[in-house]
Amino acid sequence: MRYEGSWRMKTDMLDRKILERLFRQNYSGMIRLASVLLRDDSEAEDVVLDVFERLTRMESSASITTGYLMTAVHHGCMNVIRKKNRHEQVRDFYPVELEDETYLAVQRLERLAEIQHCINNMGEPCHSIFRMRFDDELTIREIAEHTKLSIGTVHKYLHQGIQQIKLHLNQERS
Amino acid sequence: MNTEDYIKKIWDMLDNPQAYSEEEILVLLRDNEEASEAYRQIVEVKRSYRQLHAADKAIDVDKAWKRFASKHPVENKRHRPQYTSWFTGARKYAAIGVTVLMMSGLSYAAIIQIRHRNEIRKEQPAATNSKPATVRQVKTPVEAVDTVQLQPKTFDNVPLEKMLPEIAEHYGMKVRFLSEEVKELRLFFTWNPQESIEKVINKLNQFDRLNVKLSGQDIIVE
Repeated sequence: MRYEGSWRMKTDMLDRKILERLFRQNYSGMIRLASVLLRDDSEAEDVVLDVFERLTRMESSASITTGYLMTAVHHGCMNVIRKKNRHEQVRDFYPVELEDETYLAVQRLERLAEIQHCINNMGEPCHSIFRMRFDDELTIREIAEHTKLSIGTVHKYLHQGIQQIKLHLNQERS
Repeated sequence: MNTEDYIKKIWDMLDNPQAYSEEEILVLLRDNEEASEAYRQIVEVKRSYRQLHAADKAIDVDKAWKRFASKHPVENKRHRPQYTSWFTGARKYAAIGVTVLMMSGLSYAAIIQIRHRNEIRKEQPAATNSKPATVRQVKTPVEAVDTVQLQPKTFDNVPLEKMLPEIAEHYGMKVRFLSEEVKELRLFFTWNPQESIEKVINKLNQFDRLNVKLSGQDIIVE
């Protein structure tokens, strides 16, 4: 058994009750945000737990809000992505450059919901092609085989869909 | 290469990243502003699908908290000494050291008295009602006392199955764990051997997941 022989005080640690309250109130939201930003669920969980682990070393809870925690999760996820090589980044549809930090996490998630709304309103075959490419993760060649469309046509629908979403978001902002 | 070509290449790269070098990927995603914007949009679309699935996931917060709390035990602040803001750094630890020494000194005297009392009881069984003044007359060299055992000891992230038997041994008791799970619970706990076993158990029971009882010579952990 380890015996350090010293009287170690943890006076600089956040109170357990406060930590538990913060955890219970925010864990789900933080996990969902991390799961949106990262492909791997275990990586997402690690990021969230790392944020709470750092909280245990904080002296005061005064500055800890849901916004603070969500921003910490975003930073944590970006750090995970930054450590990956370019091939892994594009394979998992990660940003390869720094993101606009002016968006709050809540705004970010609202915008994603708006994108899904836009996709749901797409006509066929655009809607199905988006689902096959982004959700089922088929390649464009596989989609072409599946839909009996040419590769060029699949490209066209994907590009059109992206333009449609961009236009929709721009209209929402203005 | 025009914008449309850039965007087609980006789709191709997403299908087969290994066909492109790191430099080629960067050029594709940086050189043409419209293509870069298209990629950012693609990233967002992918995230929107992840969000769709994340919303369906059942998250057991209670289980997650218990797992986190067992790995990162945190004491309740109200049970710890509070210090004013100037009372920091070396001064704090120096003061703690002095306090520990004082406590150790006091405990030497107490233990010396207890030991001596026991010796008197063994030698003179009939004299159990003798006055305390007799005890005070005895002088025992301080050096003879094992000081290390009397100092508070910190168990940092130590499983209960290792920590409690050591504490129990000090009080001449045994530990009984009623579940296997609780044996693996790791705590940050400062044990003061000068305190009574009842007081130590009260402190242990301040941890949420722990329920410790005394039963005769047994310490029972639920």
